[in-house]
Amino acid sequence: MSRARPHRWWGLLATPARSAGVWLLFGCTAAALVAAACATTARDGLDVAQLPAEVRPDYTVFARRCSKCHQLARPLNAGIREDAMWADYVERMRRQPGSGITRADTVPILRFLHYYSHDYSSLSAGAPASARVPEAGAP
Amino acid sequence: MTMTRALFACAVAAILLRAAPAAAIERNFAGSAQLDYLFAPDETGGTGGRSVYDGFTTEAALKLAADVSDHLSANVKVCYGCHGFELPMAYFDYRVADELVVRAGRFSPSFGAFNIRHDPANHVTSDKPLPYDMGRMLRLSEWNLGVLPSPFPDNGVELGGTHWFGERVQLDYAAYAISGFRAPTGSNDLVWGLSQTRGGNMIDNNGRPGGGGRVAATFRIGEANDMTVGGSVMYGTWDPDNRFSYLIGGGDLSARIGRTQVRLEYLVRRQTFAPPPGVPYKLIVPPSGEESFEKHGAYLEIERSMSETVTLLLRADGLYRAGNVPATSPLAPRAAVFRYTAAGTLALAPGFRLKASAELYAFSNDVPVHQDLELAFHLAVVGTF
Repeated sequence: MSRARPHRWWGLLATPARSAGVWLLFGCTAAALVAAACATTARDGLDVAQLPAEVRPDYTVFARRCSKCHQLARPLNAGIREDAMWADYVERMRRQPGSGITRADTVPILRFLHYYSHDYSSLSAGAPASARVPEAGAP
Repeated sequence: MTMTRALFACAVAAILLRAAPAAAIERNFAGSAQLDYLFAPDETGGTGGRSVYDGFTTEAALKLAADVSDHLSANVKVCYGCHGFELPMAYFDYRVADELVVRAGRFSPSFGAFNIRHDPANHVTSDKPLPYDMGRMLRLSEWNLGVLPSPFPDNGVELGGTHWFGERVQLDYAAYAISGFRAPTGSNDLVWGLSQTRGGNMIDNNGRPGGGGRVAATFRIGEANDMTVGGSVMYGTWDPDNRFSYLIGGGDLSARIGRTQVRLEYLVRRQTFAPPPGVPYKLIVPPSGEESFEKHGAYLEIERSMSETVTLLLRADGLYRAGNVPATSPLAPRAAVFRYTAAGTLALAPGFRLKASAELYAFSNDVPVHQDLELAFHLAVVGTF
């Protein structure tokens, strides 16, 4: 009971001119994607090499546990500054089904988020997120 | 009318934001938006009307979570998508302990592994796996979407919880009673639109709740790996006379190995119905007048974060329907669709990503032969805050 008109993917190469503009758009976009992928420095998370050594283990736990269901940019862009709100936020996430976040995990996660929303953010105030780099020797 | 509901939802959200002093209630406001362009060069329209939403589509969501107290929290979410405004979340959670949470209001009941990631900001592709397709698949009218289009908000109550056995095993469980899916008498499949806010009357059509549950276990294996195994079930009657039923079952397995995630999920819906008198069907209708069909769906996907900037995904998914269909249907009594997807995302800025995917569809009325091949391409931007 298939349709009368046969469909073959290779036949797309000969589709009518109405599709030409869209094919051109997709071609240009693909080229732009490749170029952007080579050129972009944007990232969802932070550059761990730029973090103070004592923060890196906490960030590692945060990055591992908080990227299972969503991008890291989600919490990092949440705009939360208060530790109490972070605690509620992380608790809500910990209770999500299949989160894989134990109570013990919340300690390093909250320690990192405290650093991120206080020291890190103040260091990089006014700078774009992708360019937020703490000064050498900063805590 | 739809706009009125959306404004009402926004007003509720505003009241929640303003109703109490800042120190009393902790609130979190989050949102996402995706603009997608679907290019389906070989689609010309199906027999049941337009068979693909090719062109631009937008999905936007605004969510407010408020912790009223240590035990009580509220969630309200308003979405805008292909069918206008929708209210997929408006519920309270009363948490006695981690092991016992009572949820009441409008929410998507616990079913399957995908639904928790259904927001377009939380998955790599612009569309959903076919078992959960909500409208971006080709020939959507002929197939009447997936096995269980996600999200699937409904009015009801759910008892659930989570328990950790040590530091390695997390057990999640939930059981719920909801209004259930609906369709008018004489239908041969569910009418998904009746479960949406746009459907108008949000009262159950048969006064008998549906129900279901889910159990899942997550195992942490080492510091960077984990695995989740789950099973779900849902049952209800869909017609006003409570004569016909649907039973949905599902199993899921997902694993995260370092920066790679592997997900496998299978769903099946068995549904009974009665062909209306005078409507010809492809197979002989039994003397009892009662028919049934099964709709199976599965997906397997591998997702790999190549860097903090680029994520790639390969996916194979499909649907298989077995059962009688009206003579006018383009589907055979045994019909299938397979789809193979390559997709990727590129971070343009923190919280802002470009998505691209290419999909090869293979439709078949002579299972398992791939008869009709069609291509589709998605290009999207998605942002979160």
